[in-house]
Amino acid sequence: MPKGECAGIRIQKSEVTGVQGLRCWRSKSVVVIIPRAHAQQAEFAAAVAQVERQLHPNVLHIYHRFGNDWTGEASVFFIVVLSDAASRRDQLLSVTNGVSDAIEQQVEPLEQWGVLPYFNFRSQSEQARHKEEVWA
Amino acid sequence: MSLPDELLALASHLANLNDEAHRQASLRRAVSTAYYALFHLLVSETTLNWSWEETRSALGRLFEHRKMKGVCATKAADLNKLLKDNPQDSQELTVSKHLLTIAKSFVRVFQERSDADYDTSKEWDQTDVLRQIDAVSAAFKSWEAIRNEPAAQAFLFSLLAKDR
Repeated sequence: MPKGECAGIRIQKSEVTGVQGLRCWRSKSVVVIIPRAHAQQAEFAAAVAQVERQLHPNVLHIYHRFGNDWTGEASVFFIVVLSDAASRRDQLLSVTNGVSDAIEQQVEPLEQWGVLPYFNFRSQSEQARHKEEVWA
Repeated sequence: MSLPDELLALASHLANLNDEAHRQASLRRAVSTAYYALFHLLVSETTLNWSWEETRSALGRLFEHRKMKGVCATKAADLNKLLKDNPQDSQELTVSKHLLTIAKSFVRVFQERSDADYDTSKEWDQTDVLRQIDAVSAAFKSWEAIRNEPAAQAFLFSLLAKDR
């Protein structure tokens, strides 16, 4: 995110006890800034679900969770489950670029929600081999 | 074959090993190797501008992974903003699209490489690893298309330049 900009929400610290992923700046009064995506998780999930519906049948499900990347930047991590047909080697890059472009352009995770997006992709067959999935 | 090309080819080889006994290790090494392919491509292209060939390798040691990721993230955000306005077709626009491919690929594969090297809880899927290698390969092609453009050279310089 460019310096001086933040798609976040400023709230008094006393109001946010227990909220995860906080970033604090101390000045005369204590103010906490959190990414909008953290404060409005249901709205973020709804925006992602809308894109998911548009991308069917290539995309079967889009999971996401919030966290920080390896440099500490507020991020959203997507796991996209593709149909086996859409996971074919010869079209993998174009399909996955289409998915990430759709999310970036329609949801605008960084610009509107203050979180840097990262994407992982699985085929339907691979997803079946994963024991658990606890993400949204 | 150059070192970046060799690394990219090795990444693809590792991802396609289909060796069940070493599956997760092979996929992790593939991801990490793909990252280093792109890292060394950008470093070597930058140091090529240094006329003293003997000291290029030492110059390359000045690059910092995190700094490069930060520069690429900022570049990608700037270019996304520019492209959102649907600017008219031009050579500048073409260069911007290629730079976006490179910058986004670097940010993402940097994260994946860190996961591959340090997050032992993550389980890797071949589909995802092959997709990452394809993305790095696309970044290589984008670089080849724009390497002599002033904006591309300015991008290289920014990867090394100190914030003022």
